[in-house]
Amino acid sequence: MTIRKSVLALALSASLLLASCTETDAVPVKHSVALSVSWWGRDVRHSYTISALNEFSKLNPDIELSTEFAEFDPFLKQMDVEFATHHECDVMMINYDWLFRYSPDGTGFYDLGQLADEIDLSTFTAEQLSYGIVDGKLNAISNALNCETCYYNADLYKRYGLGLPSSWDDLFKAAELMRGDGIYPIELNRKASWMAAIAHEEQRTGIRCFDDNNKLGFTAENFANVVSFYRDLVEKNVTKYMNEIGTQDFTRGISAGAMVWISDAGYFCEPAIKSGHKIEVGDYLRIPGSEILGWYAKPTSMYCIRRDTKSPKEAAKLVDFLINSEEMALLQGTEKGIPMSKSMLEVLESNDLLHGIQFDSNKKLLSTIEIKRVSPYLENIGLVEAFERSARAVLYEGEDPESEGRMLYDIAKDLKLEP
Amino acid sequence: MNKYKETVRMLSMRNALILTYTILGVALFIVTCVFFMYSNSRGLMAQSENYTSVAGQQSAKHISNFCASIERSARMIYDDKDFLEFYVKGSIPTAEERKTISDLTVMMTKTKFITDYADFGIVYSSGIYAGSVSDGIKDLFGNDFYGKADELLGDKPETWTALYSGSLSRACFLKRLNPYAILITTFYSTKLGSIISTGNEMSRLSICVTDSSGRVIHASDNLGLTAGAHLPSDMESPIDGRIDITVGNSTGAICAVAVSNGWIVYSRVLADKDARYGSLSTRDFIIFMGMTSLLLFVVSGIIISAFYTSERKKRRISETEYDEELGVLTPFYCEDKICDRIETSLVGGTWAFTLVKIKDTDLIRSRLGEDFLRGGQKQLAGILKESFGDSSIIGINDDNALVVFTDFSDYDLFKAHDNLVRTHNDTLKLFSRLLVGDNSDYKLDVAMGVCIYPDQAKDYDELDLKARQALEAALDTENDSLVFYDEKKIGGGRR
Repeated sequence: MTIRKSVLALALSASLLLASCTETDAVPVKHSVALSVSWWGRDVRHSYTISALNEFSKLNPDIELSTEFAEFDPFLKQMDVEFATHHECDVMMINYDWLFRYSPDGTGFYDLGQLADEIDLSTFTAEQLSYGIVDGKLNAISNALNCETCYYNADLYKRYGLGLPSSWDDLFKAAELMRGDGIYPIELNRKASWMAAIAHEEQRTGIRCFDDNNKLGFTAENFANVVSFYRDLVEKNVTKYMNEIGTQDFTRGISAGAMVWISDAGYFCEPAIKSGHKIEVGDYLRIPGSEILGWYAKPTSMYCIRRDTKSPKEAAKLVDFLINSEEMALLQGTEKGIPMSKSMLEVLESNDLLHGIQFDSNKKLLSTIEIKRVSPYLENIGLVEAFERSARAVLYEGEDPESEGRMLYDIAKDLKLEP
Repeated sequence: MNKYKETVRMLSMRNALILTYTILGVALFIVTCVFFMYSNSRGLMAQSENYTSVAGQQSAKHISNFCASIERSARMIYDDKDFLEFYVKGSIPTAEERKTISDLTVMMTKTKFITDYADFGIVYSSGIYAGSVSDGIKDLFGNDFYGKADELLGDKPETWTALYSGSLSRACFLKRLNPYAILITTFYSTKLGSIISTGNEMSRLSICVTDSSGRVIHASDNLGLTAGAHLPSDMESPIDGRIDITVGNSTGAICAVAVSNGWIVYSRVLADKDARYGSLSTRDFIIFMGMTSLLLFVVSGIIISAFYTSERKKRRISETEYDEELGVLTPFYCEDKICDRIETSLVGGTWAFTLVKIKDTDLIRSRLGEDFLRGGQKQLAGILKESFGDSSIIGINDDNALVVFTDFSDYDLFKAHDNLVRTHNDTLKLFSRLLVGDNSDYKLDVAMGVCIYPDQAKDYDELDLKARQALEAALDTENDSLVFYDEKKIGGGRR
């Protein structure tokens, strides 16, 4: 080899080295699977749900989540808008009646039965799964059972020499005693006011507002009685008017009792318990000797998937995480009530988390065999809002219960299982 | 034995050269790499700072725009003078007041859905609300909602604040509508996540929004900060309370930008340890260095080997320094020494480069044999040594001509030339003693060609060429002959 060739080889080597230094580096942009998820609730639920979703994101880094959440009323209105404009989230937490509101024929949501490979359905009984079946399609999976339940400040009742109420008359009697001190025996928010007035009328008449087939049983007169009964509750100081109840009235002792969903018991009762009050779960109020109980339970916090989601498997993975995972179970605890999922129950049990006011009220619900599953019509937000308007009209605008009863009847008889 | 020693010496020299060039090459490579790495590091740092600054500014701009849109939503109240001036006078609203509250609630609720607020309502000094006011915000403000809101506003017509609840936070905009009514608008700070997304794969970019006291309103997931936490010191310290600034250090770059509502956006890009060193990991760098060193070593070895095994240089290994029979330098060493002498010669000196050759060597060799000729050359070499002395370099070239390089330097150039000519003429006379044969009865004729350095030639090759031309001229004449190179007579000039 000549020197010239050697120098050439060296130059070539140097060129190759330099060429390797200037190599272009093309890195593909990774697109994650985008999933949106929505739920309603209070801040505490938002807080732990976000934490749980962060855990899910760590386990599934290829899935990018976006969230929508609000309190119940605004969330429902938001859902209406989203369904109308077809902008609903991929995974949604829905209320029981929304199942029929948005999916009257079972096609409004994805059939979760088709995603059984991703969602472990074996942790639910057939009956529990049936809560989410519409027209043969598994549209939603419920997290827990919920029921309007009475919680009382036992110390306050004791101060007036009263036992915890078990009938409506007990409430009116307590109101007479407590009125002078500005204390209300119970507080009934909008939904509790509606359910309580319906229960009273059903107990009084033995007629169910809507039967098991969702057939309307009440007449205009029954609805008039419903409105009248609520007026009595307010005028006789059994409860504050629904829109004037302070969120901390129960904690501050302004209300001696509260009728709320089991899932809300923590929000209302825990601060009162921490304040030193003895809070106890009360009986389901009824007219003594009534033929029917008039109280209803509903599956709550139902998870469903958008009917035409682009990523059904990923969405199903998220649903499975939300209803079955250990991470969610530990973060959620009993905030939504006692979970139906066997796997979640095992987690809570092994971590000694199955206790407290919600656990007690859930036990009461499960042991009260007269409680029936609620008709989605009874949960219909339009009907509940109409009741709210009627109550205000009768209480403050001089309208008579009969005309309001007719109005409510007209709305109820026209209800259809569709948005 | 002497030849073996020479060979070992040469190989040792070759190896030393290989090693030297390899070390030099590697050193050069390292210096170059360090330079490029430093340059690259500085470039990356500048890029990071720029990137961080842009991310911070864009995020701040997005948040400012979003907040401005919320502030604008208050205009809808101003659109109706009755709504603007309305307030609930007592703790229990009248029927007329309930009607107004209901109308306001309907209007504000609709607006709320368009913009996805958590709250959009009005709180009155009587403790009554209109619009959509969540239980969550009521809990945060407590029993005296209006009083707390009034306190936050102070003398200002409107203000932004952040409210913390567990690991959640709400961004809250308060605006006074009249002396008894305050507009409240909130949104969950998680909404900021969609406004200032860092991308799930870009874990080195983090963005954090804080209130003016440094509490985190929202932070990208990769920071692991919950709302309400204080900004970590590794983000806060480099900024040191300054705003609208980007700071770069060995850990990365961090930028703090003010948002129009008083919040601060911090953006940070963590340094990529690999990227700081020219996108090479330490392991890759070592491999790259090793491969390059090996390559340099091999290539250097090949080049040096090729150099020493060239036709010209291989004689350094194969030849001895002296022709033992003649007692003069061999061709390679003769040339080598003359070249060294030329390189070290003083300016103004005078040297004679003389080629001496027995005439008709081919004829003598063919008729009388090689030994006969070698005997003549031996005598000739002895005569030359005698005549030119020990200070001269005397050797033999590849054409079997004897080479003499003699110093005739003198302060007087003419004297030097005279001496040179005289010495050569004297030497020519001595050739008459060149008698060979068994009875010394055969006279060999000798030709001499002379070229003077530096007057007639500037280097060895030119000297050799011109001396050869002079020798050729001498060979063409009868008997012993001496020819000094004369450009006019012989011609040729520089090669």
